[in-house]
Amino acid sequence: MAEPHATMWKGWMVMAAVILGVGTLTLALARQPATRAASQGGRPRPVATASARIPVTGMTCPVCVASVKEALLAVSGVETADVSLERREVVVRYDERQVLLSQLVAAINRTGYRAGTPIVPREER
Amino acid sequence: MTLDAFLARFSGLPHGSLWALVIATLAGVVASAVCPCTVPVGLGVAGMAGSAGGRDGRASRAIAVTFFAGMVVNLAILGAVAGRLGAMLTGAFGRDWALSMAVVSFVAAGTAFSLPRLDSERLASWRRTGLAATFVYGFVFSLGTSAAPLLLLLTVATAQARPQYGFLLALAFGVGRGFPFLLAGWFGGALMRFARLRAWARAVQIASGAALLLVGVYYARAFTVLS
Repeated sequence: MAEPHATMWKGWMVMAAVILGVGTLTLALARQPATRAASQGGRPRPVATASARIPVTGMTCPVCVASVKEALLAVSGVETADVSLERREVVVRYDERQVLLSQLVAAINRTGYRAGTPIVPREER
Repeated sequence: MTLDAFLARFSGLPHGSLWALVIATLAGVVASAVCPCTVPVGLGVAGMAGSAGGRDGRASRAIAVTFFAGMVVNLAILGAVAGRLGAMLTGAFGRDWALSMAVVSFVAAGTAFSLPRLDSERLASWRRTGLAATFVYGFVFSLGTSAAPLLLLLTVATAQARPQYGFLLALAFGVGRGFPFLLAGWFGGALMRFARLRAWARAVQIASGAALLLVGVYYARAFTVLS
């Protein structure tokens, strides 16, 4: 008698796995245009926008890239964060009235990766 | 310690020596130790090995070795085409890779949950397909997580070397990089066989599938952030 129950139970587990998988990916895909819109101007642009190039060591894969990007975007005043695994650096655009470079460095270091000395373009100094 | 710091100690890596290959293997182990993907995917591999394992443990060991082989073969190929590694470090590639890993992990989770429903004949035929799929899983995983550390290693070690030497270094690096996953699969399979003896089969099944589901969610989340 236990066999049909076990089969039914495992069937439910497979169905749950499929629903969770499809659901997560659908949510991820659905969020994509909104995120892109935000990075292209959906978010109100700060007035005093500055940019800085920060070297980051310790990143090994796209998940590391995602962690650094997420940490920087969570800092109030950061507009965009373009992380490059190849150059092992991040280019951040931020509102310099709201956020200091040291806060950006601290945000990166909190993720477990190591931020180097930020480089600010000459014309923005 | 980061991989950069580890390699900085060996900036005068003796070119073409056996010692350099040993360092490359150790660098692979360090790369696995510092990569955030190692723990979730290691758990996933242990889960796959456990759910596929028979009583003698040969099937679970085969899963562990096949995933390891997928990683090593991928790294050997990456070493041979070192000049093109940059293509695997772009944002677009990282996003697509995270999505691929999420899809493969969800499929693996579904399979782990459904395996006990198969009769022994179908289970035997699944194992052949499962091994091929596990090899692909290891290959794809390595493609996204190993290109950047390998580029760093080759930059340090092979500035003046021949391409064949880069291939050898990458192979040695791959052995070190894949070793923790080989261990995870091997011992995961053994642990779950032990658990089966105590009629914990259902709990083992949930743990295996849940580990793979979490891996899928982990990569889907990374995909979302990168999109």
